[in-house]
Amino acid sequence: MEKARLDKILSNDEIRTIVTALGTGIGKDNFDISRLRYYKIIIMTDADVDGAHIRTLLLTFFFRYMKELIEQGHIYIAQPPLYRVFKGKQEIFVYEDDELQTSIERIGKNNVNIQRYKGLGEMNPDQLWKTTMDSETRTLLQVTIEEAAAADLIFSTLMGDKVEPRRKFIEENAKYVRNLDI
Amino acid sequence: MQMKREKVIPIFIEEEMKDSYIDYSMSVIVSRALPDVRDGLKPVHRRVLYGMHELGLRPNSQFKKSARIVGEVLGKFHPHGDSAVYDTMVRMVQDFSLRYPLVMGQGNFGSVDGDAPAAMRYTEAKLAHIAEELLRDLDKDTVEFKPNFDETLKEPTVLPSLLPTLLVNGSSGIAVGMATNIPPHNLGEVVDALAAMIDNPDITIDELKNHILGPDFPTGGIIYGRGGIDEAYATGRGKVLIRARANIESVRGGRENIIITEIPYMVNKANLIEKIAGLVNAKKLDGITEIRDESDKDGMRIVLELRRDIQPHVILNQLYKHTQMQVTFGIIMLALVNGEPKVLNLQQILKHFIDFRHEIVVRRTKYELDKAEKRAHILEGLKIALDNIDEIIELIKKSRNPETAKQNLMKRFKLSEIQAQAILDMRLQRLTGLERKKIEEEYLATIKLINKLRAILESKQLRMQIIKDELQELKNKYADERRTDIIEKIEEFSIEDMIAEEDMVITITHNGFIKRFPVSGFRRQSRGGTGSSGASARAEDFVEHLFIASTHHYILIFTDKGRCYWLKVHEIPQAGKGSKGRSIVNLIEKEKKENIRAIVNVRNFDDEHYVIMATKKGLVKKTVLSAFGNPRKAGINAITIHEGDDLITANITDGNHDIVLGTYHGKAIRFHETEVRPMGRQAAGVTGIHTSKEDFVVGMVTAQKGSNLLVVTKNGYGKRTPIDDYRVTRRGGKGIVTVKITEKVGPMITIKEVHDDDDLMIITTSGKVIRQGVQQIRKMGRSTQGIRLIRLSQNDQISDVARIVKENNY
Repeated sequence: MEKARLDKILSNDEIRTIVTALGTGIGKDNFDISRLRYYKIIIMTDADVDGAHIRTLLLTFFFRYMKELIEQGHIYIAQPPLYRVFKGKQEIFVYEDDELQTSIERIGKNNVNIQRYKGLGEMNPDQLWKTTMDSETRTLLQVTIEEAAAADLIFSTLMGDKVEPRRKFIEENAKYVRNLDI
Repeated sequence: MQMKREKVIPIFIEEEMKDSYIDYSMSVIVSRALPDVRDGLKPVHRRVLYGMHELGLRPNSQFKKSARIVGEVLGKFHPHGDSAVYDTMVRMVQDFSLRYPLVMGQGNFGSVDGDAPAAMRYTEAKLAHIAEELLRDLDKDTVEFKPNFDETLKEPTVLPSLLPTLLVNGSSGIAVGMATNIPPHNLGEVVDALAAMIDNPDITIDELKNHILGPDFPTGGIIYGRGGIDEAYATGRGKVLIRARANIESVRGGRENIIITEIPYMVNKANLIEKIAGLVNAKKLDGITEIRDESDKDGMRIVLELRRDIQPHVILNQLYKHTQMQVTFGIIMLALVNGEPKVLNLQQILKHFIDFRHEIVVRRTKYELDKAEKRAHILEGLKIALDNIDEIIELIKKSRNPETAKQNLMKRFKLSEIQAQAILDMRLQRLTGLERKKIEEEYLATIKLINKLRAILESKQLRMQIIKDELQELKNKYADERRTDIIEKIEEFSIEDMIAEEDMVITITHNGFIKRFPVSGFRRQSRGGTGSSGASARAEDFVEHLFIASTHHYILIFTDKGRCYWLKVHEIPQAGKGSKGRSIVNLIEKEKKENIRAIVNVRNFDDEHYVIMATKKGLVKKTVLSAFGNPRKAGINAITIHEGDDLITANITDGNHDIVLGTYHGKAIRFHETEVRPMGRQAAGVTGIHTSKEDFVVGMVTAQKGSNLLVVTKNGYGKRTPIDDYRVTRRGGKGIVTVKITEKVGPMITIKEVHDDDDLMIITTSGKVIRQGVQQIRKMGRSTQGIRLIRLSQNDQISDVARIVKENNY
């Protein structure tokens, strides 16, 4: 993935669509940030581990081929809710696992319903707007680079073609896993 | 303008990548791609089986639509793609994918040709009998359950499998940074190994291999070599070679067919046949005239029809080399142990399974004990009631309501609430004599059961015996014959394995056409008949060289530029007597401008033989034959040829020959080959004959005592001279007259060694070819002109003279 050649990358329809939409062009000589058509590019993936995987792939693409977008703070990550806690007409959207209990208590424990969102497709369009996309209420994570060299190393480790460093990384970091798919 | 309340929190890409990646990779590792060492299942398999179990799809019940099963599994346990679930179930039906299929299918579930199964709305499924062994005792609190994805239901974290699924059905999966590939095994063998390990917990891997011989694939085939198996069982990693099973069938007309009845595991038959056909069409595989797939519902049968002159096992070896008729199965025995991926050896896998079974037996026994104790407790109450039935009826009658009755019973007879309730629930028919006896009997039986269960919980030995007995029963019910054969010896797979070792007659014509045919066939054909001489020779061409060599031997081809090329005898096209053969030029990678000057055959590239070469300018060179022992397709330099010089010929000697060089001006020199010391391949050689400026070497003979030499001149004169007429001298001399060169006879054009019964073919520059027996040429002394061999018309001259080899006389 990481070292994939440009033409191979552009053979992917989704990537091509993104490149077209951004308007900047791609590649050493063609990329021109002044032609960027959007100020905020927001990555919105399912709130499960596969969504996390797609996010890493997209970030790799931006980091390797459109680094300026990250450097200038154009790349964001959307924050869809993890749960909907509802009873009758009352509903609360929960964005963090540790907020779930307080939300349940707030709404009243009896007859409370909890919907766990695994994918964006589980939400109605208006729900998605309200929870994730409304530019007045949404929360965005702005992607920044702390230290270019460290970032470079991480991308090489996770997305490079060598398996051994990747396995080592997984072994060393297994304990930091936040949520496991079931 | 409205105030924006959007919240933006900066994050570091480094952290985001790490977090997201570890979430994803760990999820794939622990809950997607890898099997659990205990029940041998990945979550998706477990969910399909459990879902089917929940739907009541027992082996004896009706089939249900696959779509329903998939829907059940998706909706309840597995929030992923429907095709993933259906594909998983389909694979569990296919008897070519699973050694012991866990699901029974109704409808088209795909084929070994890679045909897709019918869509899930058409097919139906239910659990196979053997799958019951994975689910048995699931309701006896044998395994932990966990909430499903939306926490509305519970699903088992592992199935209480009695079947050692991980080994018998194998597993394969690619996670992140690691992968697993466990081959299937034979149930009987695995059970035997487990039993042996129960008897002797310290059993070694070597001892286990007395029971488990190796992988046993559902598709059969043959494993070549034990090395990879041994390594995999000892370390968890190894490579085994699997070959298709093929037989050779004789058919009418003396031809033979190759019949393939089993192909390696996971190989797509249709692709395999396509590949073979592709190789045949591309001429990479010579000798297959037709490919037919005669497979039907009863089994696989691929027929390869062979040309009559083809050795079947040679074709087979080529098929093994170039197609998936031979594949390597890379074993990686990686599985989850307590949720962590571990590469395991055979001993560890079996040990984990036994430990797991032990846990199941303990939990099941505890559950049954608890149940029996509860029952005994009730029965005790019932017994008390029956012993005091009149008093009890009285007491109940006096009580105002059921609750008071219960309290009274408990007080009067020291009963527990459960017992009192059971008495109140008792039906009056229980009071009959027979029923009373039944309760008594049941009580005794339950006490007995309790004692037995307690004994089990107290004795590990008993528990191990139970595990063993249950496994034995499993084996009796489901074990079957091994399908994959294991051949101990690994054959070194060299090119020669693909070539039958057979003696061949090789003929090379004057014009450079070469062919071979088997000695056996040749002799059979020529027996009894006088034969027509030179049957294979075209009018303008004839056989010049004929020798016998094994298909594993080489012939060396030398060119005028001093290059040497190899040709394996088996690379020479095999052809019938009437056919011309193929031009050598097409068989070696020589340069266009190079001309072939000599062809010799070699059995062994040993140190006892030499290659003797002679150049136009009179140089000779001797190089030990072993220096030619490393064939290179592009050829090598056999001798360094100086500008303006050419290699004239080359010959093989045993170190004890005389060398005779003849020149254009009719000079000849004879010296013993020990005069020439052996040199490396790159050397240019030493002077053999000192020629005058306009003179040059036209031929070399390596001869032994008693030979006769033939010399021929340009104008058609020739003579035979005994070699002993030539004095042996040192090398490097000017030579002596071998034929008197006059205006009439012209210069000497060749010198040859001949035998009395040889025939000669004399070729003129105008293309005339005259055949003449050697006998007709008179033996004469050295310094004579010779006799006229052929009357030439004006302007015509001799261009070449060759000895004819008579094929039929061989």
